[in-house]
Amino acid sequence: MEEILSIEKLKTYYQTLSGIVKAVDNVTLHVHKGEFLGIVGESGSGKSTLGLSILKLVPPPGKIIELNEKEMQKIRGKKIGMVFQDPMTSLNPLQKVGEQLIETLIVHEKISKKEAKEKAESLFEKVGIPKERFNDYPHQLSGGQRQRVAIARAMIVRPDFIVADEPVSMIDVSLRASILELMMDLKKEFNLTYLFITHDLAVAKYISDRITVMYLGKIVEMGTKKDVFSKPKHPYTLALLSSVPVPNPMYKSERIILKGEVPSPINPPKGCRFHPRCPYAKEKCSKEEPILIETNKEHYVACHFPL
Amino acid sequence: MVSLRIYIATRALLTIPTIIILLTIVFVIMRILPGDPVTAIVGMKAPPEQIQELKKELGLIDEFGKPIPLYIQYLNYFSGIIKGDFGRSLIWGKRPVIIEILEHFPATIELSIMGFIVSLLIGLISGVYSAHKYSSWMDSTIRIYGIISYALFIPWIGMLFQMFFGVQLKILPVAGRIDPGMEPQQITGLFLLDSIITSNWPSFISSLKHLILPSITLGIVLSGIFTRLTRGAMLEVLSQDFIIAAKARGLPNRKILLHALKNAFIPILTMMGLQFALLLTGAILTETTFSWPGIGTFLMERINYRDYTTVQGTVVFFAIIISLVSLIVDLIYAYIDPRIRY
Amino acid sequence: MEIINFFNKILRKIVPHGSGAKLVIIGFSIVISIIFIAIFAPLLTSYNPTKSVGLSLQPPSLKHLMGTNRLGYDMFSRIVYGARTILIVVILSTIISLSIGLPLGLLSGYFGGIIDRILSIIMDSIYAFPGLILAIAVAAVIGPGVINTALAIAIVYVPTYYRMARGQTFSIREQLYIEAMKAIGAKDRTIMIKHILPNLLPTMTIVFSLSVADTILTEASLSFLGLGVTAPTPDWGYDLRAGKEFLPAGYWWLITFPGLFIILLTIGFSFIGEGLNEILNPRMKVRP
Repeated sequence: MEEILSIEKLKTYYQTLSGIVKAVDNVTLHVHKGEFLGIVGESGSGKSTLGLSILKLVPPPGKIIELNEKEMQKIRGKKIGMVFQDPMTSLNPLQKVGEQLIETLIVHEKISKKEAKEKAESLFEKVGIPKERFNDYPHQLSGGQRQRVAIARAMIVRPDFIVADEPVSMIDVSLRASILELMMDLKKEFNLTYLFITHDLAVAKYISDRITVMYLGKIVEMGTKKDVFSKPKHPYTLALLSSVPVPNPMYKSERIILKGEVPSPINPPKGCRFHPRCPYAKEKCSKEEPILIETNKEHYVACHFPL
Repeated sequence: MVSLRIYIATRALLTIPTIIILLTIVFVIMRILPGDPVTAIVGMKAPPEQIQELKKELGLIDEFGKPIPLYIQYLNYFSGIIKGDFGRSLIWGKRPVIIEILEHFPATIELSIMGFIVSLLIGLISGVYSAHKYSSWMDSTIRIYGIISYALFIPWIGMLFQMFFGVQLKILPVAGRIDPGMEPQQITGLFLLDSIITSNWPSFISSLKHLILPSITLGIVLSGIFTRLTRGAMLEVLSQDFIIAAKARGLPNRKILLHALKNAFIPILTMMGLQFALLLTGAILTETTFSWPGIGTFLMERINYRDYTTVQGTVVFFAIIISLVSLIVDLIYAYIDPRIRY
Repeated sequence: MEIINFFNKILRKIVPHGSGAKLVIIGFSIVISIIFIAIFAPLLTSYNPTKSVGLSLQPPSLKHLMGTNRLGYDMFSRIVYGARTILIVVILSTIISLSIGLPLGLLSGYFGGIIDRILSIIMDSIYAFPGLILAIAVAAVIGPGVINTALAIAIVYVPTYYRMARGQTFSIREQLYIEAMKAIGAKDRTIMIKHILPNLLPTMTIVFSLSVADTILTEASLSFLGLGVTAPTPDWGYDLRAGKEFLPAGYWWLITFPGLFIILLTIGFSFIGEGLNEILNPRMKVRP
């Protein structure tokens, strides 16, 4: 399978007043062309930072894309697009929505404003926004429409790769399916690859091909949807899965309630970061940090005692 | 959510007590504070008829020589102002104060506008740049500038400019508004504008040359607050999602900063209105330093001549103008800010 | 070495990290230095700032570090004694403003009601009016002089302290459950003095420093305009005025030093105020 993006030993640390936050700590990841890669984890797991780091919006000392800021600006939008969580804040409140698409187009391609407007309008149609909305301001649109605009805006320059950070978390539950379907349609039509970041396992299950589970800045499990969901190998994954509601009244859920709370990313626990909350933790777990190893074909886990 | 109309009405009504209070204070200062204006004007040894005459002019006694009680003086004072009668000067041709004020005011307006433009330019550019280069040493320097710029005493800065550009280099004039005899035809009273309207280019050049140093002086001192405000507002906006989204789309820095500035503009706009009072104060000091024939020099001159009615009238004029400008600014702000609009 | 480390540790505990502390320290040093200059003036110069030393309009030399002015006064001693003048005016006017504004604001904020309404609108009106023009108007009527200048300036800053005290009292009132205290039988006066007043202090110091900075500029402006302190009392603002006419002739030392010191003293107090503001109201920013 062809690789479209390769991330090696990425480390992204933030300097805050209370200390250094190791948001992403030594992550290695390969994204296959044409896939829907889901990144799941709780808040504080570093998944959003990972997304931003790919666009070098947060300058990481680690190695991913060895490009400087000027070259990065050419790639951003052109090759990599990004969709954010809250479309109300990710759209410029003072600019008409159609304008925002046109502006992106003109920056990257040498076409006339008229041509750009036509392209933008046709894309509007494709993502399912009524034509009349082209000259509206963001606050005049509904939440679902705004997110479609955000998606269209990320798509307008025909990138190959889209990073989507919680794109449906702020959308009404009833509208989510339609947005997700839109994303899948666009993927088919334009041959896209998605990095889909979410904390919602149900969403990840619906849409992803492969799943990566993150905890406190590290990848703890990675594999195909089938593998991870039906045969999870990491205790954290198991706990996450147990909280996903299953629409089957016969299914007796054994919710695994993790003890404690997510520790602060400024001072992560020694050894395996999950060990204070892990029901299966043994002594080794508090001393040595487990590395990501392949247990079955294409199924990786970072645990001393995988399930 | 108060509708725009109601807000306009309440705010306009609120101006009235403010003006009344200010005018009362001016009255108190001029009439009640210790200091005998009469002796100050004519001296201790003046003949009684002269004193009587003066007292009549000051409104202290009526035409029969009887002293007018204070409260009636107060009422006369107010009714005069409402009618637009700010009194008459005590010196020279005894012209109506309001006329003399209006003759000198355009010069101050011209200086103030130019000074304001300079301060806005310096403030916006330095503020945006400072926010863009957050945490760098350039940022710290600009922040310090923001704090100290108001401390740069206008007369001193003005004089330094005069020394350097006027005396040393001899390239710019140090006093006055225009070379003698070069005044353009008076349409608005603003020399720059008038010379453009009448295509009087020598007049325009002369006027501009005289404006440069005073405007820059005034502008530098007032820019600090804009620098700090712009920087603060920009930092707020730059941390918002749509900026990161814009970067994610590969928009160049220039465009991003411009978008950010547009979003940051509302608080900057409010400050612009509050600056008017400072502009006037600064203008007085600038005018005295550069011998600029505006209302500041006018006021000082009349104080020197003990022309109390003119002084009183001028201060009243200031009070009314400032209250009105503050009202207009508040209304404009209410119109622009969506929270009040919807 | 050990001692230095020890002091460093103590310093770090007392002085918090960040730009605010740096500003306060710099500002404080400036202000203290000028206060020292004022106090020890006779030790710093043997010349009388109001008596001619012979030659007038002399450029700076070893004998007269800052030259002499038109009347032959030694400029250095005028600077040094001028520090006394400005500090006296500033201290005097600030004491007056504070003693009127603070208690009124406190009472106004505490009791509210119709008196609060009336006072507020009066104070707000004065506050909105440019201070210098107000001071000019008063000074024009009551005449020049050190005490008169202090009075004229004092009036300008009463609303500033009033508004601060009133605003702070309002917010402190909410936090302190005044009703609960009264229920235990505490008297209004005790509440105000023992509870509210101390909580006013942090904001008070910030407003104080910044207002003093402004006061210095107002004093200098008044004297520059001829309405403040006049000859022969040494005053930096006045010297600026006196030196102005000699500008075209190139006698730069007449105005450079007085102006410099006005700015320095103002910056000193501004830094203290701004620095304290940074420390007491920090702005959180996360940077990657």
